[in-house]
Amino acid sequence: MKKVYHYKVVTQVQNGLGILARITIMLRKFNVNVQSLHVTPLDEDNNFYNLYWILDSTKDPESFAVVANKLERIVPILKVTFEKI
Amino acid sequence: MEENQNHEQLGSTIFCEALVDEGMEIMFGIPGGVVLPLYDKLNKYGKKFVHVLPKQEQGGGFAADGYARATGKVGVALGTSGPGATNLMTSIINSMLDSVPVVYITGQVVEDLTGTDAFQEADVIGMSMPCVKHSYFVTHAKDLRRVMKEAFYIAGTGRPGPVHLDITKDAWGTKAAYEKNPKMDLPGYTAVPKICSDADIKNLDQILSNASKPIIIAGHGVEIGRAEKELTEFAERHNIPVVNTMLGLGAFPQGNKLWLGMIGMHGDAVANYAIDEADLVIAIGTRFSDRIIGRLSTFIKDKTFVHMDIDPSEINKIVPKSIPLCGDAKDVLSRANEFLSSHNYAKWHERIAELKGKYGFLDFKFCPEPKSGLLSQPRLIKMISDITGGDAIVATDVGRNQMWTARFYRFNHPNSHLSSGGLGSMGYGVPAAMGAKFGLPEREVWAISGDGGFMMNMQELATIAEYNLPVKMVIMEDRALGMVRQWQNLLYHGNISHTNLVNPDFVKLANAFGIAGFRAKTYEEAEKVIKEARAINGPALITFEVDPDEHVYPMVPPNTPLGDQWLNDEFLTANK
Repeated sequence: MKKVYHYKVVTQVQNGLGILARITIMLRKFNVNVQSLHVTPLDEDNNFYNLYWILDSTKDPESFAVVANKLERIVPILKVTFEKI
Repeated sequence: MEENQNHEQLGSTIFCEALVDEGMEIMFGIPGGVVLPLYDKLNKYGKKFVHVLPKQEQGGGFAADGYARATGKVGVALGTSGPGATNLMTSIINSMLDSVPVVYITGQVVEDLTGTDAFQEADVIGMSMPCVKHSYFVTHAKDLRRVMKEAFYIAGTGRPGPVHLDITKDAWGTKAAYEKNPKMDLPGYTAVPKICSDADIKNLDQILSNASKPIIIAGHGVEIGRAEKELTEFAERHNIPVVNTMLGLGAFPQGNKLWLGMIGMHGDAVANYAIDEADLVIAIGTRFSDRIIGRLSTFIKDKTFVHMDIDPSEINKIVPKSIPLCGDAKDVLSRANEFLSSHNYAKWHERIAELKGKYGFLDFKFCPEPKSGLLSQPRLIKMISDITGGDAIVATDVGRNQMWTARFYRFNHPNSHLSSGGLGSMGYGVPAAMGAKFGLPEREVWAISGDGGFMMNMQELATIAEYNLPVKMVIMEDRALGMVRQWQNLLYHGNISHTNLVNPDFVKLANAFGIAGFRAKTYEEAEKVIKEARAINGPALITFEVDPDEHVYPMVPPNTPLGDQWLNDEFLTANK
C-alpha cells in the first residue's frame, strides 16, 4: 500500500461561480482527497478568499508540487502555497 | 449596430458586436432552440463575419480547431444546449490537450430552468471544467461584453487553449450598454507567469560546454510561439541535432542537416536512438507526452534536461529535476542567441552519421512493399508530398495514416501539419482541413484519413460541397481500423477482434455530395489521380486501396525504452 502524505494547501482565489468545483476537479484528476476546507474572506466586498485545505495524497512533496503548480494555472486562482504536515 | 452606442443593447446584439470587435472572421455554428434569439440577429452580420453551418457540432469544433492551428488566430465554434453542447465536448478537450486557442460557445436553457432537467438541458459547464483553460456561465447581457473580451484574451495568450462560454437563452433578451473596450477582471491570470532571467539563460553556456551529446526536442510550443527562425539560429550556432515531436513537425526546417525527424512511439529510428544516447536534452515547447518518452526511467537516465516552456506548471511534471527556462520560446531563444557563444560536437555528429548509415533516414527501410499487391501508405504519402512540393497544409486523422503522414510528408512550412496529438481523436482530419481552408484560402489543403476516421465525420462532405471548398481528401482504404489491428497483430497475438470495416463505395459517396471522386489501385493510377484532384477548382476525394497489414515501424510499445524500439523483421533479417 502506498504511503499517504498530508498537506496543508492555501489557495488565494477570486470569488466566482464554480471556483470550488474548478479546484476539486483538479484535485480529483491527481487523486487527491480533501480532508477539510476552511474559507476566509480577504476583503470587505467578498471578492477574494483564502481557502485552507487539508489534503491527502500518495504524492511525495516533490511530486505534489506539480499539483500545486497546476492549481496555480486555474484562472481565478491568484496564489497557491503548500506544506507537508 | 441596431441600437446607438452607449444605449442599451440586447444581449444577442452585444454578442455579435463583440465578435466583430474581437476580430472574429468565421464561426462554425449550429442553431437550436436556446440560441434562436442569437440566430435572429446573426443574419444581419453576414458582411462582418462568415457563419458556416457544419453538419454536426464535433465537425464544427474540429473545423474551428483546424482554423486556429493553421492561422494562429482564435477559432470560434457554437452549439445549442444539450446534445449540441455535448457533441462539442470531444473537440473542446482536443483543443485543450494540444493548446489550441478556440472559444467554444454553447446555449443553455433559461436561468430559471437550470437544474430542473429541462428539455435539452445538460450541465456542460460541469462537463467542460476539466477540459478547458477557463469557462464562463453567462445569464445576463451586462456581463457578455467583458466575458467575451476575457475569453478571447485567455484563449489566445500565453499557452493557448479553449475557453467555454455557456450562455442562457434569457441572456440574449436582456439589455445592457455596449462597451467597445471593457475593463477585464482577471487578477489571477498572467499570460506568461514566469520569465527566466538573462542569468538563467547565460548558465546554459556552461551546460552546453559540459555536454558531449546534446539534442533539441522541438515541440508544438515552438510553432505556437512562431519561434522557428530563432530555433534554427540556436541549433545551427551550437551545431545541435534537432528532433520534433509529432505536433512540432514544421518547427524546424526538414531539409536542414541537423534535423533527425520525429521521436516517439512511431518516430524515426535515428531520432529515437539519438535521444537514447544523448547526454543533454534541450526540450522546447513540449510536455513530454508518454507517446514520446517511452519508459521514463530510461528516458531520463544519465541525461541533463533543460526545459523551455511558457507554462511553468509543465516544468518537472514528467521529467524531474530539469533545469527550467520559463518563457515564450521566441523570447528565450532570442536572448540565448544574443548571449551564448557557439559550440560544436563533431564526435556526436559522427555517431549520428553512423546511425543514419545503419538505420536509414527518411527512406522506406522499415516499410517493405506489401506482399498483397495492395498499395503502401508511406509511398502514397511521399508521392503526395513530392507532387505538392511539401507546401500544403495537411490535416490527418488518427492511426497509421497519421504516423506515416508525420514521417513521410516533408513539411516546408510551420503550422501546416494539423493533427489530433494529445487526444488522438479519429474524425479530426476532414473538418480540420475544412477549417484551415476557410482560414487560409490561398494555401493548398489536404486531408489524409483512414476509412475508419473518415467515416466518423464524413457528414462534413456536405459542408465542403456547399462552399465548393477546394479541400483534397484522401482515404487510405484498408477496410480496417488499421492501427488497432496492428496492435492486435503485434501485442495481442494476432487476435483480430472487431477491427474489420465494411465500407461504402467512397467514390459514389463523394459523387452523391457533388464532389469529384477517384479510386487508385496502382502507383501509376495514384500519381494520375493526385494530379487530377489538384487540378480541380473545388473539392476532390481519392480513395487508395491499401494493405490492412502494413505495420508502422519502428514501434516503441508502451513503457518501453526508445532505444528498444521494434524494427520490422525484413530489416532485422537483412541486417543480421
